[in-house]
Amino acid sequence: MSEHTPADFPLANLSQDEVDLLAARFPDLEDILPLAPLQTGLMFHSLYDERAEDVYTVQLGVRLRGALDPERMRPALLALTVRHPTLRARFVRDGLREPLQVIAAPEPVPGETRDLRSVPADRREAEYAALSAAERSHRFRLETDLLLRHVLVRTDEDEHRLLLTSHHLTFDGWSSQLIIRDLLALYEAGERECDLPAFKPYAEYLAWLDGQDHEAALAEWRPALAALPGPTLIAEKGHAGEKATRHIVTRLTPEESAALARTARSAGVTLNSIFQGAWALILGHLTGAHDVVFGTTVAGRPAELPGIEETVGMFINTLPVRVDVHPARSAEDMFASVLDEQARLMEFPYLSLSRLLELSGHRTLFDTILVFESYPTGQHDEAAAGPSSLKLTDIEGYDATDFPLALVIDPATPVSVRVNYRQASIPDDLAEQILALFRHVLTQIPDKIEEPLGRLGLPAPDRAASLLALGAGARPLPPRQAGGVGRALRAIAERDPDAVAVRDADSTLTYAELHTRADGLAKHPAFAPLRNEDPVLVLQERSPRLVVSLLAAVNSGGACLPLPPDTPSELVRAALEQFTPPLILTDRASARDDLFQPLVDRGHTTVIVVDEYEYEYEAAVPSGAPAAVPAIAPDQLAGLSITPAPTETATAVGMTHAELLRLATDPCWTEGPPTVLMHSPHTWDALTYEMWVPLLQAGEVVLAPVGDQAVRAVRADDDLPQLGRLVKQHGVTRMRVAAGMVGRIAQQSPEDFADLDELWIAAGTPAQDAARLRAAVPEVALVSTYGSSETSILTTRHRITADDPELLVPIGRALAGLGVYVLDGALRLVPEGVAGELYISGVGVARGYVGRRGLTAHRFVADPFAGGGTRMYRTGDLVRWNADGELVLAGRTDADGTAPDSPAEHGQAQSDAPERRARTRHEQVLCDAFAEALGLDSVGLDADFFELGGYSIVAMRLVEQLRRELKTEVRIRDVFEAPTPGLLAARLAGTDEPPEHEPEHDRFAATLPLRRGDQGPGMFCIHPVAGLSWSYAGLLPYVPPQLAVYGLQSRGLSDENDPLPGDVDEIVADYLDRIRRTRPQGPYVLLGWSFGGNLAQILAARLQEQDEQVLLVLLDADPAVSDLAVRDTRGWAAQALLGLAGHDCDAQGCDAPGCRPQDLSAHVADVLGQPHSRLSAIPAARIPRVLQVIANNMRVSASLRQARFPGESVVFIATRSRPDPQAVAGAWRQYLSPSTQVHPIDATHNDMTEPDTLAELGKVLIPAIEQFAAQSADLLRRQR
Amino acid sequence: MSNPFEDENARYLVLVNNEGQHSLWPEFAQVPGGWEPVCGPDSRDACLAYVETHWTDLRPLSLVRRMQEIEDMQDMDKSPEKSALS
Repeated sequence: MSEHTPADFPLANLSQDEVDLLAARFPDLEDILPLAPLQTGLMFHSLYDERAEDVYTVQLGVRLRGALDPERMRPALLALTVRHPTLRARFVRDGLREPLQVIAAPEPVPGETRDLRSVPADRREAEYAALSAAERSHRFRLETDLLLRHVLVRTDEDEHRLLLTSHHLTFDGWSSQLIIRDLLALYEAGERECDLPAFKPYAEYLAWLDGQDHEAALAEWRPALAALPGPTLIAEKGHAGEKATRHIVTRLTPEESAALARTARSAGVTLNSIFQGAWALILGHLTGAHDVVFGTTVAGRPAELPGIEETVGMFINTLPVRVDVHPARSAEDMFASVLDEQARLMEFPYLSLSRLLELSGHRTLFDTILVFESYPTGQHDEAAAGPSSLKLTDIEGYDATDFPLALVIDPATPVSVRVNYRQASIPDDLAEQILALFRHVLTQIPDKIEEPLGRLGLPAPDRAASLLALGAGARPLPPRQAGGVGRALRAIAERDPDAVAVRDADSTLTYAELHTRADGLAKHPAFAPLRNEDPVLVLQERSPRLVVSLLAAVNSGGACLPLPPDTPSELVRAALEQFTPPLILTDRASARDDLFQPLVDRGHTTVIVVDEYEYEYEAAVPSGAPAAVPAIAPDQLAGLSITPAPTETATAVGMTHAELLRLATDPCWTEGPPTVLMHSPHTWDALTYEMWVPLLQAGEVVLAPVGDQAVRAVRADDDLPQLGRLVKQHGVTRMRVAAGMVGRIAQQSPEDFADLDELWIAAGTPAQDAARLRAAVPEVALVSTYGSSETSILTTRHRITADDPELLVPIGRALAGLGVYVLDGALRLVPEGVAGELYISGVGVARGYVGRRGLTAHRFVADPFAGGGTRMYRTGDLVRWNADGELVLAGRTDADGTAPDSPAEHGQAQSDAPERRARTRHEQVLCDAFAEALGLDSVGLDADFFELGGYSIVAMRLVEQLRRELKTEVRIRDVFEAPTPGLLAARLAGTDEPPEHEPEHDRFAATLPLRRGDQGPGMFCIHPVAGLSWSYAGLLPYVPPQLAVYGLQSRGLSDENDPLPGDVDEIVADYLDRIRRTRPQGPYVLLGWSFGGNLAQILAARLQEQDEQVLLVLLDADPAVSDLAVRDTRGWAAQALLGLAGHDCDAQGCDAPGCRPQDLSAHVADVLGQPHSRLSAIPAARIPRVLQVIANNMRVSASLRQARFPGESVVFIATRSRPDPQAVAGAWRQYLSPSTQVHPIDATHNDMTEPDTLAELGKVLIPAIEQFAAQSADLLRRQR
Repeated sequence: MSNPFEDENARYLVLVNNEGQHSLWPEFAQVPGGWEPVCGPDSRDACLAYVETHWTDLRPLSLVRRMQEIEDMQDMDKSPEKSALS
């Protein structure tokens, strides 16, 4: 029976059972307290995934000069925790209804002493850094551990560094100053009484909190977060586990600082509100949003509690700041409203962020915080001032937060601004630009405080100039030729009349013949009344007659509107209605009499069926007779391009004669007359590429056959072998294909296209398809293009010269005479790397949409950069500049990139379906637990936790209950990723579909923790060629339990943008770095299966060279893997992946190397998705990337060179795959120690990590590792 | 991403250049060189309605003149007696 009762702990709201439970667990406990709101949030984040690193493990390091006595430091640390009970808090939820903190009885602060004096002076800093990183990566167990430990490091004769590692749950940054001061005072005092200031107990703060009106606080906050469209996020998704941070600083000059302070005073706002407003403006600039949110920290120590400033504890809070940065708003107005709102909300600074998230309806709100430094840095000088045997020379803190970027402002004059950012999520260049932008905004505010925000100049002029230069194409070309397209073509015909202009399967037209016929056609009386720019509809099959008709139409001065014969009737009708063409040219196969007749009847239109009329004009016109060509103004329209979708009013854009002539003489084309394949459905845009430009270059146009009349809808592109034959047969030199064709050509028949000079590919081509094609036909120039009818069809181009690390091939840079701008929502140039909307300026900008004045006036708008009354076209495409200064597509503005990831979205698909009931006991338990946690009577299988009002604290409660009832490990993360009872049941049973979003990254993390542990050697398992280390999890039962086990996986699995290694040296360097970062010191066990064994052997040799103890374990690896390198294809990659999944490829009916390439990913997805597949956790969308990584591993295996590793090795050989184990053993002998143990295992190569095989292996592995661990521990002891 | 030309609640101008081309323009932004405001500040709809009624020929003014010259020349070619009269 406990001597405590619930009444002893009035704040904690406990039952007697709970008191008894805690009293039994913590003898002599001192107090039981509830959690402060921020502590709840921190605890939630810490426990979100107990297998990942805890970002709230924080550190405080002090450098102490003088004769330090470690024997006195330990009692001082103990005394520190006696003085400050919060340092003894444990955070308990197991067996409780709500998490609580228990103040346990004092106990010595665990830790160790290290002496680095024997380490060379120049390596001590690195050694210390490694040590603190290792300390940091070691998780606290919140329920049981004292959340404070220390390492006392002797770095020199009279210098020590004391490293305190703690958990953010127990104290905040303000407290760290108090901790250092008190610790040094207690150390000085020793046994003596120590005179330190009194402080208000943390419990009183909690009592104060409890007394606040939280409902009233929520009511104040509610409108502040209402109708928020989405979170404001600027970071890229970083690699899991990596959290290297960097700091950069800028300072305003004293004059700038003073001007800012003056401006704040005269506007009646605070400096803080100016900084907040300025930051909001930058966020708007970077995200294109007008409604932005970021975080800010508040000290949280209530002024009405005297002495609270001396309390060590967790008080600070992170709260959202939401700002409307609409560019029409004045800066002054924004600052004033930021100030008002903050003043109002900061009356209620104690609500937890998780409650506010819940209020906002979003799962996240921001990824940046702004910290206004509220206490002077350098306070430690004061602490060091007293009489002391030690001199405190430096304090440094490692204070990781959840936020990729923190802006820390010291408002003292001169103002200094620091950006702390995680390099994994924010590129260095972007961080530097952000800092520069922020500074630039601050310096403009004094002069522009009354102007609209949209008129604050961004970026700084030098940066703007370089962005404009980046966007500008080459110098405009010399003045364009006078006259029209017709005159230019006629000149070619006069120069070289017998050159072939058009060729089809059984005939040719020379340039002279082409003109003769076009002139003949133009003698038809229907041409005579045509006025300039009158639309002429050309609806014909692809044939020499089509070319004749098009030329006649353009020569007439009319605007030629070509439509392919399979154009839908609605679109033809819409075009006829809008343009009422006075002349229609068609052929018998394509005529639409039903559509044409009404116009003819009204007397508006003449229809010429060219294959019926031909006889007449050929007879009528004497060969070579010059025809009268009407005078044509260069800026008048030659052709019309129509939106290829049926709309109420067809939207058409015209292209002028001058534009077409300019395009044909652009330097982007290879020189000399080309032979071009005309195969696309012949809209004006396609004809520009495939007919007009080649003709204007005196080239030859090869017409792809239209195919069988009965199946006319089948387009030429569907018959790739035929296209290939045409290219070879006619010596085609230039061709343009749609994005989707690139992969097909690369897979099916790249050799057919090997003789092209250039292949133009449309925007949106996957980079991996382009890379594959480039590898297959290296002599062909691959050119990626972007453009639209509104900007002369061709706007930017990119010559593919290397494998692009992006997902899509870049679209490149502007053509000569054109310019591109990447702009934010206020028409400001955005920094490189940041997505913005693409605008196009210069000579290529079209006149507008025919007859659509309003639409034209808001799509073709005044150009604010070029001046002179010129216009720019806004494309609606989102793009960004990549590191090479090339544009990359990043989406559409209308495909809302800032979609709210609100809880309501989750499970929407199921909301209309009838409610599913639980089918198994397991599911019933989950449904009941959901209902209980949410306070509902019952909950169906598909009910979404978050839709039903769940939030983080409720999730913690639910997880606690599930752990109790199911006796299984449940993480909070599981609830977030599988938020319905049905999904969670499947997930816990291990049969779920993995989520497609960010959380799967963990599984693909480069370094995959398989088991945490802190004693003995660290074990690293290197992935096989398939790049994944998941299968090593099965090893855990056979590895002594105190060892930490990590899987090393191929880089690039989690991040498509991560460049893949170029050779084995690069892999080895990367893995060494990762091993050292995870476990800075040996001994190490390195294990590898197959290709992983080859890598492990090299790594072992490197580590041994660095004086580390290493045990090497090889699972059926072969030093002669040269055949792997030739299998550099997706087919072989797929086979390797399926092998890893336990599927023998051939046995499954997949002859992978010849597998139909476009189906490969789908096929792999099918196989992996089968029940009991070991790799079912690979989402289908990720398979192409995984295959890419595998193919790369195969490629780099060519550079494998085994090292010599004379250390301890254990070699397993799979006898079912290698009939002669001795041969493999012999091959290894030259690289390994003669004492190496070789163990034949009765298994196949693929089955090496099957449970049965592992059980066999374990018999050897367990004693080998234990013996190695004992030996290395012994050796370490002797060294000391 | 918010686009400054698609904001139903914002105030706009209509600008015209020396080719008679019209552009919708957000009021907050500086008027670019070579353009003059001819309408607004007003709602987006009102500005677009102005464009619909005032911008009757989308051809640039210089082209309109040039095409007129060509047409006149052609008319002269076709009816020399007419040109002799004028």
